[in-house]
Amino acid sequence: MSAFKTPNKKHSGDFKIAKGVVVCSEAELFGDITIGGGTVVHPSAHILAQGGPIVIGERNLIQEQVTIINSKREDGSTPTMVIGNGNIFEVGAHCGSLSVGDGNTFEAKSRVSERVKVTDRCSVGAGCSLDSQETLPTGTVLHGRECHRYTKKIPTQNNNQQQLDYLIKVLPNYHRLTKSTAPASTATPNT
Amino acid sequence: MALSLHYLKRVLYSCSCSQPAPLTDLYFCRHCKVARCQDCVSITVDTYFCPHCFETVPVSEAKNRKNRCNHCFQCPRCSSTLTTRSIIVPSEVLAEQSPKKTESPSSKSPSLARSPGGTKSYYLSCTHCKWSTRDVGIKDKRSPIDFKDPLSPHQERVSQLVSFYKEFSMRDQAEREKAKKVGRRGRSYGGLLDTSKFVKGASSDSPKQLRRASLQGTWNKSVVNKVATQSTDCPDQIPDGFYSGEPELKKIATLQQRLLDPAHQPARVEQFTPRPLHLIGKKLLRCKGCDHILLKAEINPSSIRFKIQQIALHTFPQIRILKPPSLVAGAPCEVLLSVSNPVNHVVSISFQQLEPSFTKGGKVSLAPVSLPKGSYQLSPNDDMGDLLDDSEEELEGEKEFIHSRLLGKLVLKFNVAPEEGTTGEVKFGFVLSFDYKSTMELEKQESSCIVPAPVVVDLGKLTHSDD
Ligand SMILES: [Zn+2]
Ligand SMILES: [Zn+2]
Ligand SMILES: [Zn+2]
Ligand SMILES: [Zn+2]
Repeated sequence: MSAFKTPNKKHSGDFKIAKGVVVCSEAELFGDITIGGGTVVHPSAHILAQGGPIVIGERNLIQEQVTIINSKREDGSTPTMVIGNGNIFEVGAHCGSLSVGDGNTFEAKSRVSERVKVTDRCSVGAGCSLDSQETLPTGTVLHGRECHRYTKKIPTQNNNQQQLDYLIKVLPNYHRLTKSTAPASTATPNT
Repeated sequence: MALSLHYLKRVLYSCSCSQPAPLTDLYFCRHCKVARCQDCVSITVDTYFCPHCFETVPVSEAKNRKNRCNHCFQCPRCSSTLTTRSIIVPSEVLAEQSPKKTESPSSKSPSLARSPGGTKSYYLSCTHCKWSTRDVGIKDKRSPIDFKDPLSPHQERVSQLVSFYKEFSMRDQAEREKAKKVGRRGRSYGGLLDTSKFVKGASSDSPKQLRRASLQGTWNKSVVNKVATQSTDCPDQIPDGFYSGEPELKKIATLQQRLLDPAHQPARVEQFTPRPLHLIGKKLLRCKGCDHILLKAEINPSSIRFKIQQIALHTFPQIRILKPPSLVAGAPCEVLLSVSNPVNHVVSISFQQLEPSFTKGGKVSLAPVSLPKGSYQLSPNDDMGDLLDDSEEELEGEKEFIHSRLLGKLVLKFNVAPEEGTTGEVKFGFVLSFDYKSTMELEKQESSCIVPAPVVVDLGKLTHSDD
């Protein structure tokens, strides 16, 4: 995997990026960020660790215009934002949740605030907005204009491995990448 | 305020039934040579098709299919279209699932043996709300067309009633014909003079009631009893805890979800079944005056073209307000209207005052207006027009009223004098007459006639309002 040593205004802070991660240098990264193996960060995504570190696990897909933000707190506390493995953040999604489990889908233009805890295999539908103090149980599905919700008995596994493999192969041909901070073994996050 | 953007509501043309409508809502009948609004056309369904798989269904067959597609399904939760997903089930898993066959792995069913890697099985899933047929325990199918709408629980009863009433109407018809024959022989009008039928409870013997009585007499009682509604002593029991238990809102279907399936009306989400997708009809519009077709779409569902499309927008010169005028009560104000030519030949137009009968009962108060005098010619609206060298063909028109001339367009000056004390919108009207050249294939020679179109323009509120 080729990486270009170009001064990047969009990146500032302290990153730990594992091997095999594709982070386009057009993405905006700020603060203390750890990204696990097999994750793809598209150009124009924003990962902003303003109020504390962000730890992103493995095989996550972070698409364009996504904002993952650990925002600054008034009380000065610096909690760590932990995102698990195999999540999809679709175009324009906004995630402020401090705890995201595995295999979740945040559909396009969805919005999850920092007060929400997302467990595993949930799906936040396109355009849905969540801003209440709550924990989404495993398999929760939100959909529609009125944010209808239900819990799936058999949560579906989002199958994005194929897409990730393809993106990891193709993206470096068309975008400048941010170098991974080798050696990989030290950068693997514990989620 | 950008009036020109709202010209659709600002400039209303009058239909032949004197209903005002924006030009886009009007049709034009070439045979009657008048505008027709949505109320002046008769609408029938030309063909049906499925919006998902584009299968065309003839009108006669659509009823048998209950106006639904056989292969496409709708999500019972969010009513978007379901997609068919396929998964490959390894043979070993299938063998495990059917315990009989685990004993002897060699005697696999032929369908399993066909594909060495496993068999494909299908389920339906919604990409929008993630509902799938697996959620409600519907088994995966071997073929995507295996999904069927479950029969209605009232199917038997409905068909029983339908056949009963079919027979009933046949008998009724027969009786009526018999009565007609009797009537022809020598009808007595004595019944009309009989006042007893107006007395409540009196035994009347009007021919109609007699006929009904005879009908019931001949009707086999047992046949009627077979379909008659039976009363029951014990109504359906309400489940325990229906009133006292805490409602699980996530598991109760919403009213909309229930009514999506009128036959079953699932009360709980576990009872959801995929709904067959509704067919969509392509409209066929006819003129109510002469029954000629005004609008007919192409049969092919994937085509958005029309075979016949006689809309007013293709014939009538289109009027728009060029820019918002400044309106002062009691003073004549110049209003600029642009008139566009929709056809690619020269059209001459002229303006007349509206008939006084147009403002029926003074309900519509129109400001007095002085119209451009004489007739004007609109240059053809030809896409190639600006490429041709403009040899300034002299087009008819009084210079005094012309603001500017564009390709296929003419901007004219109108003088509107809003009356003192106008509180609402300032409106003015006129009759736009244009010569319509019919180019029907049957009539070889071009025939031309003048079509009058009454137009009312809404200019909005006075500029100097008392506030
Ligand atoms: Zn009409
Ligand atoms: Zn279909
Ligand atoms: Zn759905
Ligand atoms: Zn007609």
